[in-house]
Amino acid sequence: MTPAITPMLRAVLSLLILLMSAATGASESSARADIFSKLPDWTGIWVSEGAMAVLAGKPLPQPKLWGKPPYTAEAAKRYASARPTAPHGKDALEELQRVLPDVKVCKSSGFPAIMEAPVPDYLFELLVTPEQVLLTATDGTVRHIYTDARAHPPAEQLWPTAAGDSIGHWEGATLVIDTIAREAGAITPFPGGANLSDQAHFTERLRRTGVDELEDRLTIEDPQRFTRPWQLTLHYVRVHDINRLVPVGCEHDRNPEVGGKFIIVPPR
Amino acid sequence: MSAKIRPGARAAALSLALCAATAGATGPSPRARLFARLPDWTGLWQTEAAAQAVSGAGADRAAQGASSLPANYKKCRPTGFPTVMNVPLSDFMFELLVTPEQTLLVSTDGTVRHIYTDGRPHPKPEDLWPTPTGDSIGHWEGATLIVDTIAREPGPIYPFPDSPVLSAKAHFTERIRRVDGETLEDAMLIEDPAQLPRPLSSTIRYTRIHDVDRLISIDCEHDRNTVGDHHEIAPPR
Repeated sequence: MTPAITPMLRAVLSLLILLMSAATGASESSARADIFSKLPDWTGIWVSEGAMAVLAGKPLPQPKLWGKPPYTAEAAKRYASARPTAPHGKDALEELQRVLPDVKVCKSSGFPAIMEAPVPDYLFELLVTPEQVLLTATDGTVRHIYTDARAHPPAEQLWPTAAGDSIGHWEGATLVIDTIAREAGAITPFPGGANLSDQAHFTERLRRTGVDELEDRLTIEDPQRFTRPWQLTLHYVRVHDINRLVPVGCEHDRNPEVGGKFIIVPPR
Repeated sequence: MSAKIRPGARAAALSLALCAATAGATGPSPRARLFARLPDWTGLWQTEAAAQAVSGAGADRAAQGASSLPANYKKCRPTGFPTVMNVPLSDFMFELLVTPEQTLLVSTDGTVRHIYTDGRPHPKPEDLWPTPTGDSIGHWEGATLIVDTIAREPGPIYPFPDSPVLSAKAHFTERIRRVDGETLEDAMLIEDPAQLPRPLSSTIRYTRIHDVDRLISIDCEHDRNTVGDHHEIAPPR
């Protein structure tokens, strides 16, 4: 015999359901928490694919940021590098280390260099929050990508910086980034790369392509120096053998790479 | 006679099961639930001393303090810890990003503090070396972040002439909390038996900044971040 739902029982059930909904809702009710719950999880330590190849003892693939940009004839005459190609291949690391002491002087690489640092100890984290995505790297580069719908500052309040001004929005789990006001100059601190004006405009589509992979589709437009947009796709892999970001420290650094792994060497 | 489930209890159990199933199907992930319980520290912050310098009320005192700093203090180098927590200069601001895995502080001077809050311990002694910010781990007690920092490189606590000097064994404990909508507080304890006769404690308060909407790194070449009676952007040179 089916039990009768008496008015008293109906009232108790309704109250029970109401209480359970309130309990669930109270702890998760804020709009901010709702936004966070829809954002992708990019927790972890990441390094460029090229740097990971070097770490594994493989030849460094040609870094894309060091490639030949679509210069105008005038820009090419002025800025095209005398170096025919960037260091790559099996001797790349040795060549990089020759120039490295001048570069690794505790100065941050800035943008877009940090997005393709071929040096294995240049690692980064991405913190994803409702208001911004923040990239912080071992070389000190910090990128704030504000995602709360704020605009770039007005032109009269902008000045060029190493990282430029970045804003972004989410398309599903892809972060679309717009960067301007990056200071004019070489694209990376390593010799041989492109040279940009401070009118360069960068668009990125950053997304996770696998559990241990990120991809950044970068487009650089420079109306003063390029004939057309320059499109590059950069890849990153997750680092598993260290568990926190330690800044590159010229005086005390014990974070070298040996045998394809990040290790901690004994104190000097 | 076996126990029978009374009709009311059966109905209640069914509603509980339905609620649980519904919550599981549409509710947030465990990580999102963790985030929901964390306090909101969004915004730009600076020390009360710096804020008073901006407003003009403490301008004279701030000017005196600034004049006692070494000449190369603002040379586009990060100040490190604990200096970043107590800079009386009005262009030194910071943001705090609070996530389930870590709370991250990033300052206009380039100092970045990672305070990992996911239960990980400090690295083993053989895997530690001194850095300007040390190694920080933390845990939450309600809405208060308890931070434990070690392996900060030896040297003066602050870059002032009469600052005590610490060893690499100094141990820092902080209790950081939001006091109200516009105020943060850091209660800091520094212990260093090798260098300090007794622990040093201080409470530093921070004020939310309203006239700047994003963190811009201090940049010696292009800096247009000036201060009058509020933070301003100077015209281009």
